[in-house]
Amino acid sequence: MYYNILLIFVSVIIFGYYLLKRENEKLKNTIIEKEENIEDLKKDIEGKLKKAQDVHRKMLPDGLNEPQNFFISDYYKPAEYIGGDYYNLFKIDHEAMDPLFNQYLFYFFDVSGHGIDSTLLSIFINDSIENYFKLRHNPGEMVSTKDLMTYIDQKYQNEQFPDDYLLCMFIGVIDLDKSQLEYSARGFQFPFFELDSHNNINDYSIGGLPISTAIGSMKNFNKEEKLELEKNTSLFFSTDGLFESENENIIYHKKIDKLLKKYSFLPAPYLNDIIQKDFYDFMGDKDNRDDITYLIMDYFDGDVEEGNIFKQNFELDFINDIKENLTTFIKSNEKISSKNNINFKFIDDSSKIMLAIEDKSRKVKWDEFIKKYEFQNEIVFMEEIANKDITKNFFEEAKIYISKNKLGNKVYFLLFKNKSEV
Amino acid sequence: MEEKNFKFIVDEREVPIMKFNGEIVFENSNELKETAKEKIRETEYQNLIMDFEDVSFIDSSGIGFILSLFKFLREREGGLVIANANEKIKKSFNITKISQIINIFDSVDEAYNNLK
Repeated sequence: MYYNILLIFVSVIIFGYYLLKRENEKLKNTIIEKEENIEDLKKDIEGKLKKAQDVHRKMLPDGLNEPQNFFISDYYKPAEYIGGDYYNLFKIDHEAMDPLFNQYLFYFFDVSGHGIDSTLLSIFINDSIENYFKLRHNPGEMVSTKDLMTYIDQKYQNEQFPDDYLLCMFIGVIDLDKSQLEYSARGFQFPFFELDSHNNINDYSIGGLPISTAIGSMKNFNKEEKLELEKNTSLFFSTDGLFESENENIIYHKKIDKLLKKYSFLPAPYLNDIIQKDFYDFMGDKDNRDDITYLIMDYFDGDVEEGNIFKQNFELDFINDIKENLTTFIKSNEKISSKNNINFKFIDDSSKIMLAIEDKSRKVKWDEFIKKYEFQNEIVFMEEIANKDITKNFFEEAKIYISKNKLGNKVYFLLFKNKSEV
Repeated sequence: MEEKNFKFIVDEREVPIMKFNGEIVFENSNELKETAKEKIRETEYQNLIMDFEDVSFIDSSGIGFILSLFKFLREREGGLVIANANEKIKKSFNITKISQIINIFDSVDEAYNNLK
C-alpha cells in the first residue's frame, strides 16, 4: 500500500513538474515574444524620432544673416533627438526704406522640456514672430523688443497651452547705425557676457517671469534694456543648458568665464571650437540633460571686404593662393557647376587676418579642398583638437588655423599677425 | 512616488506642507505635479507650503511645476508659499522673478505665519 501511495505521490510530482515545465516554457516564449515586440516598437519609435530630428534640423536656421562687421558662430545640441531651444538672427525688412535702416533681429528661446511637445511649441513661437512682422510691424517703424515680447506672450496665452510649460526668451535688436543692442528677456536666463580684446569680461543679468499660462499675460513685466555696442568686443549668449550642465558637483557656469577670458583673442568660430572641446572634456562620459544652445557674436573693428571670391582682387598672397587652389579644385570637380555661390568675408584688424569662404550651394567639399592645399604643414584644423592638449602656445605654433561652421559649407582661415600678442 | 519624492504633512496648524527631496527637474516634474495636485484635490485645503529644505536643484521644468501648482491653488482661491530654499534655488527664483508673485520664506514657521 505504501508502495502504491509512494507511486501515486511520485507520479503526481512528475506530472506536476511536467506541467510546471510546460507552463514555464510557455511563459518563456511569451516573454521572448513580448521582448521582440518591445524591440520592434523601440525601433519604430527611434525611426520616427530620427525622422523628426531631420525635420527639426531643417527648421533650424542654415546660416545666420551676419551683419557686415560681425562674425557669428552658433552651437546647438538637443538633449534628446529633438529639443525646445531655438535661435535666429535676420535683417529686419524695411522694404523701400531699407537703406535708412541697419537693424537685425536676434532672438533665442528655451521651451521647458526637450521632447516633441517642446519642439511643437518652438514652431508656434517662430510662427508668432513671423506673424508679428507680417501683421504688426510696418516698414520704417522701429522694432520694440518689449512690444514683440508682449505680442508673443498674448499669442501664447490665447492658445491656452498647459500651465506647466514655460517659455524663456531673449529678443534683441542690433541697430548698427546707433551701435546699440536693445533687448528684452523673460524667464530663466543666465547673464550674457561681453568680452573685449583686453580680456575684460562683463556680464549682463537678464531674465524675468517666464511666459506661462500659469501666471497669465504679464505685459507690465516686459522691459527694454540697452547696451552700447563697442567694436572689438564679442557677446556670448546661451540658454541654461550649457551653464547648468554639471559634473562632480560643479556647474559649467562656474568655469566658463575663465575660459572666455583666456581665449577672448579668438574670433567667434574658433572660440566656439574651444568651448565645445572644453565642455565635452568637462562632461566626460555624461550626456547633456538639457539642450545646449549658445551663440557668439564678434563685432570687429577693421577693414571688412565681402563678395564673390572670384570677382575680387586681393593683395595678400595667402588669399590669392587659396583663390588659385580653389579655382583648380572647382575645375576638377564636375559637381560644382558655378562659382557664383562662393562668397568670402575678409577682416583685417590690428592683430589678425581672417577669411571666411562660404559655398551657399553646399557642393564644395572643404575637407577635400584643404587636403590639397599646399601649406599643409603649417595648418591646424580646429576639428582635430578634441583629443589634444591645448597648451598656452597652441595659437603660436601654426601659420593658419582652419575652422568650419556646423553645416560644413563655410570654412575659416585665421592668421595672427604678431604671435607674441596671442 | 509620494514616499520617494515628497511627503504631505498636515499638523495642528492645518496648513498642509509638501516636503520635497532631491531634484525637481524635467524627468520628474510632470509626475510630481500630477501627484501633488491629486493629493491636494483629496482635501479641502486651499493653501500650501512647499518645503524645499531637502531639494538640491531645480530646473526650468521645476519652475513650471511650481507655477502650475500656484495656478491650481489660486483657482481654489488659496495660496502657495515656499520655504527653506537653498541659495542656488533662491537665485533661480530671483532670475525668474517668481519671488514677485510667490512669497519665499527662510523657514516653514515664517511661511505659516504668512498664511495665517
